[in-house]
Order: sequence, then structure tokens, then C-alpha cells
Amino acid sequence: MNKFILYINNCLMMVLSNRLRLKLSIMGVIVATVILLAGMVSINAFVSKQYEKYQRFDKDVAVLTGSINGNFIDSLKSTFPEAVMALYSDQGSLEPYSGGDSSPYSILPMVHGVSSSFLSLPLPFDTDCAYTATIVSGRDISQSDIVNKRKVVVISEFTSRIFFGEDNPVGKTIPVKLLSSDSVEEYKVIGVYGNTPAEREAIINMMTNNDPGFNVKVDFYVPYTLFSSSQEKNISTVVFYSPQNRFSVVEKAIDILIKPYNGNIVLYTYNNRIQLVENAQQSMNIALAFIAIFIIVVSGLNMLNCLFFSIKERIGEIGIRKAIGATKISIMVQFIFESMLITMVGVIIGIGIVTFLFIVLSAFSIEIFRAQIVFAISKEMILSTIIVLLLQGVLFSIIPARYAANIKIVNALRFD
Amino acid sequence: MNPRAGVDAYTYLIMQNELLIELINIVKSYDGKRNILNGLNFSLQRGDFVAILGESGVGKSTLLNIVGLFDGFDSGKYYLGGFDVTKNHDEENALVRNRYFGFVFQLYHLIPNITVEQNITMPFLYASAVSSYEVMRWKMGISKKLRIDNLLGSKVDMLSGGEKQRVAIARSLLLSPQILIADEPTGSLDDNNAEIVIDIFGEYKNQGHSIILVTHNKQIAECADKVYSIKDGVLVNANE
Ligand SMILES: Nc1ncnc2c1ncn2[C@@H]1O[C@H](COP(=O)(O)OP(=O)(O)OP(=O)(O)O)[C@@H](O)[C@H]1O
Ligand SMILES: [Mg+2]
Repeated sequence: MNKFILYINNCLMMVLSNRLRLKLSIMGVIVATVILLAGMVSINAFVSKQYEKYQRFDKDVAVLTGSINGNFIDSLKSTFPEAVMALYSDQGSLEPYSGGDSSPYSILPMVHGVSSSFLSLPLPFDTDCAYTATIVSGRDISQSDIVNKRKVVVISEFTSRIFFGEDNPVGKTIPVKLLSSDSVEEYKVIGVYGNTPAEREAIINMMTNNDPGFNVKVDFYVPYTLFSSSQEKNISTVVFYSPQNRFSVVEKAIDILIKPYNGNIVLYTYNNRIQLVENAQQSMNIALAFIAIFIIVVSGLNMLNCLFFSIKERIGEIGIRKAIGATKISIMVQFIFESMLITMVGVIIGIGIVTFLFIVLSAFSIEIFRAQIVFAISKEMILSTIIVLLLQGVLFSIIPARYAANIKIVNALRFD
Repeated sequence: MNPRAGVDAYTYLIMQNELLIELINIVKSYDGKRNILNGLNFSLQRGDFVAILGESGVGKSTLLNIVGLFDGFDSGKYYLGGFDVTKNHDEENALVRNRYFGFVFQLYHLIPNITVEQNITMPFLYASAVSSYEVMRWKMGISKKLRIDNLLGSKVDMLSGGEKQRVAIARSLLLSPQILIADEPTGSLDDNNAEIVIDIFGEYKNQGHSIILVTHNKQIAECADKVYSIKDGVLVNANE
């Protein structure tokens, strides 16, 4: 038998012979592993979900929302004479449509008044992200629709499906009620655009949610001149695209333009969204680091305590080992090695628990979180957890191990 | 100083010197008032078999602890192979214990919870320059002689007192130490087993090793070359 195997075997037997120390220490390590690893995995899942969402944000488009007035639009136009802009004025949720007998949902329409050729720019009404949409059937709202205040509407495939099922909606009418008018009027559908990511998610939501009170949000795009005569007073959103300038320059210039509005106008761009995610990631990482330090110290002190108790019980053994030739260093190494063994077992169990947990959470993420979330555990996370906890095991064993190493043989043997 | 280099120096000295151990004027007190050893002199030659008798509490174990480098003393000199070990470093002493001494303790002092085999091979864990193949062979030889080869896989806790003592003896002899120190090794053995142990000690001595033995057993004492007893903290010739 190899000496190393003999040594390991010996340590194992010693560890196994002290069940209480083993159990208590392992529990601490498991808790620390689970918290540490689960924290890393969750932060990573959240951040990648956010990144994934903003990857759809058009990189050379700015979206401005808030109390936008004519003056502001004028200053935008004079600063960027070549810019293409789509102006939107929203009229929030009106009375919900009942989905009728065929649908268990309430339908909550959002009416957006739009300026000319709005679909040549991305649609901004998808949380805080602007996505490019394209007409899949019919046509876009035209300048003449706007000037003549025609009661026409552009909807998405998703909306079309809700109102018209499999039929082609172009040419059919939808009842629309504007805030400014008391009555519901029939608007003619002139175009359908492909679903945005938010609408694709809404479909998943509808499929998994059978709650009858569940609201389905749909968007109606109509000429903004229908909203009121003084059009530009009601603008709430501007989608802005400047073909001639470098976008980073545009972004800075807009930032300066909105300064005087003291946060009443908010700028959304790909860059500042990503920046936001990065900041969030950073603060979550810092928070996790603090929690980790705390947990490691607590679990480490637990380990230290258990080891001290164990050493008190094993004073005789230590005396015998020293008597037959164990040096102080080999006594220390033995106890530290035992701690590392215990730590490894705890870490492996902890990793198993976290892996199982996140396999389940990933599989049922739609049911639990209403969204497809993939909780991925990377090699780096596992490795760093192992390293951190092994370090903890070693660090918090040094003091008890030194104590053990310095026990006097004569005293120890009298104990046995 | 590198402790291993120090130990290698002892190897030379212990090989060269016929006088392995020399204690001069050793004074030892635990409480600073009563001297358990009071100017004790002792020497051990290569191949000596020394027995030490004495009433309980006179300091026999105390003397063995000092000889075995477990414990220090208040004044006096200790030469090991002609080398003054009084100011030795702990780590150095540990290596010396492992390489030159074998110990059989008064109270067995085996490690519970592990097997007989692991107890017997324990000195090997702390030894250097010994091949595991050799150790396994020695282990088998010794356990056969001591009739514990059938117990190798058992846990120590399960053994009888006599079996424990034989395991302790096997452990002390594993690395064939130059000097064997035994504190009442036959105290818990029946006549039959005591006989075996005496035979082993005799054989051991004939191979040129030295033995220091504390015993109450007159029969064993008779096998020794020299018999001392401790009186008033010094060694006296027991036959006088
Ligand atoms: N570590 C210690 N601390 C204090 N006193 C001790 C210590 N070890 C031994 N003594 C005392 O020193 C005296 C000698 O003890 P020692 O163990 O050497 O006796 P002994 O001759 O081996 O006796 P026995 O035959 O009973 O084993 C005793 O009075 C004992 O109480
Ligand atoms: Mg004694």
C-alpha cells in the first residue's frame, strides 16, 4: 500500500470517527456553498436575461419619453436637421374589451397616435426597448392618413389573431375608443406588422395563464392627428434616428438637450440600457460578495469550533502521534487536511443541491417566472466556489491545528 | 538548522558510538517543589537490556519520558550518541523519536476508531526513507510473532487488554528502532503472552538493539543485563 493512500485512509477514518464534527461542519459548508453558488447563478441568469432583452434594442436609435413639448421637438429638429423621427402620443388603457365567449381574457388596448411612416423606425412600446417591426400585410400609416385624420389603425399579428383569428384583418374594422371622444368608433385595419419580442412573450404568457382576470395588452397605432388638434402638445414618445451622425455623438448631444428638463424627459438607448444592466450586475456582485464574506466567516467559525471540540476529544491521539514521531507540522497538516476533506464533501453536496434546484427552476421557469429563464452553472462558478470554500476550510483550521500541534506529549498522554 | 540534517547527524553518531544514551545529574520536578528525579545518572550501551524497578510514583515513567524526549528536565545533561540534545528543537526531537526510539506505553496508548493495522503502521506515516513494501513485510512478521495477525482488520476498541498491549508492542517495533523503551509491557498479559513478549525482547536484544524496560515482573527483570531501581530520585543498582 502506498504511503499517501495510507495517509488519506487514516485521515478519512479519523474524520468518520467523529460524526458530530463531520455533520456540523458539513452543514455549514453546504449552506455556504448553496448561498454562494445560487447567488452567482441567479445574478448570471438575471443579467443574461436583461442582456438578451436589450440585444434587440436597435443600436442607432434613441427613444425619448416623458413630457415632450413642441419646443423640445423643434430643438431636436434644428440640432439634427437630417434626423428621422417618429412621434407617438399615447392614450393609456381605455376600458378593457371583454374577450367575448371565445376568450377568457380581458383585452386592454393601448392607443398610440403616430406621426408619418412610423414603421420605418423601431416600435418603442415594448417596455423600455425599441425593436424593429415590419409590415407583413397591408400598408403603413401614410402622410395623407395623418393630414386627413383618417380613422385607420395598424395592428400586430398577435392583435390580429385575438380579434380576427386566422382571417386576414386588412379592410376589416375594430372598435376603438379615444379618450377625447365619448363614443366607440369603428377604425379600419390597414396594416399588420410582425410580432415584437414582447408580443411573443405575451403569447407564452397567455398559453400558461388561465386566470380569467388576466389582461392581454394590445397596441393600436392610429394617426396622431386624431387625438387632438394641437398635435405636438401630446407627444409622449419620440423615436429618433440620425443617419449622418455617429450615434455616440448623437447620444451625447441629446443628453445635453434633455438636461434642462430635469429628468422629465428620459432617454433610452442601447448603450445606456446596457450600462444600466452592467451597473446592476456590479452592485449585485458587490452585495453577493458581502453576503459571501459573512457566510464564509460564519461557516468558517462553525468549522473552527467543531475542530476545537474535536481536538479536545483527541488530545490523547495527538500525544500518541507526536510520541511516535509526528512533527508539529505533520499534526497541523493532518487537521487541515481533514478539514479540506470535510469541506470537499460539503461542497460537492452543495453543488449537487444547487444543480438540482436550478435544473428544476429552468424546467419550470415559464410556470414560475412567466418567462423562459435558463439558469446556467458554469465551470468557473463551480471552481470559484470550491476554491473559496477550500480556502475557508484551510484558513479557519489553522488556529485549532496550531493549538493541536503545540500540545505537550506528556500532558496529552496523561489525558488518554 | 534543518531538522532532518540534524537527524542524519545522529545516524552517524548512533552508528559510531557504543554509548547510546548518557544522562548526567538530571533533576526533574513537576511543581518546582518536589524533585521527582534528583541528580539522576544513567547510561545505555549498544545492545544493553536495562530493567528499572521501583515502587509506584517514584518516577519511572518520568525517567522514560525524559529518555524518550517527551519531556524536558530542570537541570543536567542528556547526550544521545554523544550529542547534547538538551537544546534540541521540538521538530528535531520528533524525527529522532521516529527514527531511533520505539515506545510501549504503560496504558497501551493506541488510537481508537482505527484498525489494528493502521495503529501498527502509524510510525511509518511519519518516517522518511522507508519503503512501504518493507513496512508491510515487517508488519506481517511482527504481527505473526505476536499472534495478532488475525486481528489486523479489527477496530482497536474491540480488543482485550492483552491484545491491545501486543498491538502496542508491534507498533513500537515496526521500524526496528535502535532503542526500545517499554513501560510495563507485560502488566496486562497472561503468563503465556508475557512469555512471547519476553522472547521477542530477547531476540531483539540479540540483534544488537537496546532496551529500557520498566517492570514489576521479577521474571522479566531476570532477563535483563542490568537491573536498577529508583530511590529518592536517583538510580540504584537493584541487586545491591
Ligand atoms: N505531568 C505531571 N504533572 C505533575 N505531576 C506528575 C506528572 N507526571 C507525574 N507526576 C508525578 O510524579 C511522580 C512520579 O510519577 P511517575 O509517573 O513517573 O511514577 P511511576 O514511577 O511511573 O509510577 P507507576 O509505577 O505508578 O507508573 C508521581 O508522584 C506523579 O504524581
Ligand atoms: Mg509509570
